[in-house]
Amino acid sequence: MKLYSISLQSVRRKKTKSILLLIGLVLAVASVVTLVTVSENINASVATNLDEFGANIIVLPKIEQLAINYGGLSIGEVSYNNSQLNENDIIKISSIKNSRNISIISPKLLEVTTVDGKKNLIAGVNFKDELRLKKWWHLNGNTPNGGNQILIGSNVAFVRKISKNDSIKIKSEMFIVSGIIGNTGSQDDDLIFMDLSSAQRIFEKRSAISLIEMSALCYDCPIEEIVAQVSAAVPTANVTPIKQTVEAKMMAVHSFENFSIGVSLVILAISFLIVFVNVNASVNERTREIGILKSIGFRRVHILQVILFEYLIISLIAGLMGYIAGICSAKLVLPHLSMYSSDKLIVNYAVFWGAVFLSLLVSLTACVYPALKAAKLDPTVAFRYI
Amino acid sequence: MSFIELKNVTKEYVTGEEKVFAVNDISLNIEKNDFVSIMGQSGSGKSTLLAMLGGLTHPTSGKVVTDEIDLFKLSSERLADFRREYLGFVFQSYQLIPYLTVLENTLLPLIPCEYSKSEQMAKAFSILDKVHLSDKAKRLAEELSGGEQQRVAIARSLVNDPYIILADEPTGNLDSKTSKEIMHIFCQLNDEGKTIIIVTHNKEIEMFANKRIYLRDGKY
Repeated sequence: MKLYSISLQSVRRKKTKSILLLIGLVLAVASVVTLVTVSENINASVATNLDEFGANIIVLPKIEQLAINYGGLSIGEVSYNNSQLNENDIIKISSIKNSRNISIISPKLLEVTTVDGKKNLIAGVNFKDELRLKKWWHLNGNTPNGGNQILIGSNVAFVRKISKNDSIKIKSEMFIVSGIIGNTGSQDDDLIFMDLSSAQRIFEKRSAISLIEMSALCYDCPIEEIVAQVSAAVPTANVTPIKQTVEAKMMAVHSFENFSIGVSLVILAISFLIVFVNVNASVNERTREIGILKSIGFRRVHILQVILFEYLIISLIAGLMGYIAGICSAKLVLPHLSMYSSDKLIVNYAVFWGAVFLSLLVSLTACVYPALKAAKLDPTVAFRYI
Repeated sequence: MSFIELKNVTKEYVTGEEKVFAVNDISLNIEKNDFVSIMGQSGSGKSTLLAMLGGLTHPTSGKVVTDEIDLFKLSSERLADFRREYLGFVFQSYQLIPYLTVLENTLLPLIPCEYSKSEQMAKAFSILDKVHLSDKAKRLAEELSGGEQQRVAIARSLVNDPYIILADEPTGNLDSKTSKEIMHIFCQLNDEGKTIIIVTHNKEIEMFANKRIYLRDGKY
């Protein structure tokens, strides 16, 4: 027979009390696990969704300019040491350390050309990436399918009286308008969008790129870190984060975490009090038993061990059951939340150890004072019950 | 030097502004293998004296020396070790742990010691045989009769093979037949060399003792 045998028998003896305490702890652990899991899943979901609402990093060729003054009179700026971006830079960006955090890379070639006697800005893009990046586009028509199909902005269509399926000549080639982009209120309304490789071909700028728009997931990494990595990968580029977008994303993402941390702390404080009251009452009820043990030669440390082990068993079971209940309840709750839009539940296995650790921490810290009180009991209490 | 020596032991309690002497300047010697009865009216200080002999209550003044160990100079932890090694307690209300079995109650004093499971079992069953309770080893203590519970308490007090048995009214809750059985066990233990110190009201029990102590108002 060992010390823990007494604890086990005591737990068995106080079945109702032990079960009620277990239920209390399981509910507390399950609530925290649910909150953490829901929060993590919503964060990931929100971060992914927000990242598809536009670019948050712009990569431009590095241009160095010198302002020229003569006799106190400004006579303009001179550009020098101009660099160009090209398609190899996309490969370099795709291989940065945090590449898994980049959701979209959308390269563009911008050229001004004359279309039907009027100058127009042409944007060569990869339509697949561009359409993912600009989810707010409403197309009247179809997505371009093939190098000879283009999209035109609403202003271009209005001014030039172009309808979908019309053909227009750009440089020396004919292109079919597969769709017209609804009014966006941005520069996109004045642009003609064509396939990037077609643009490179007709403007004779093979593999050249004017700028790259990127959308990076910033849920678990600072955007500045990605910017620094891209800058290092493409030293000829100016990499600029669009702070406003980034910070809005981060705020939305972290507000869930702060909420769940706050609620979890309240739950943990309540469960601490429940355990404390329970152990204190139990120690008071067991004064005689503790007196007997001390009178037959149990040291303080033995009494401490008997009481702590009893709650160690309960809290271990509560941690395990609370984790399972928490994950199940997160699975049930998440589909009902409008902010969540994923089919797959992200389960962080560190939460399992966290649940067990929290359960142990709450129980054992709540036990320390009553257990010490019990260990210090005068053994003559056994005599007082004679 | 005697096996147990009490030197000018006083235990005083303060109730409001009044001082009450539970034990008042008692000196006595007890030898190894003595059978001592401590008698007196209720409130005469018998249980307090027994508690001091067992190292459970500190005297206000004086000292208790057992086997040349000054009990109240020991730390509380060493005093716990002393109780485990030297003493076996038997209480009037048995003081068993009701949710443990007869065997588990008997094994309790062995838990803090470094015995293997087989050693523990051998010791417990040899003692339970002695008090005729081996067949009830798996029963819960609370399911036994008063006499049986007291025999479990005696088994528990003996399992560590202590030198001294301290019994506080061990037959107080028992009928005369069961009391005789219990006293028979104490006599047997005394014959085997144990020092027995019994607090009692019962004059029949007094007859078994070779040393009788009468207390009145805390005085010997």
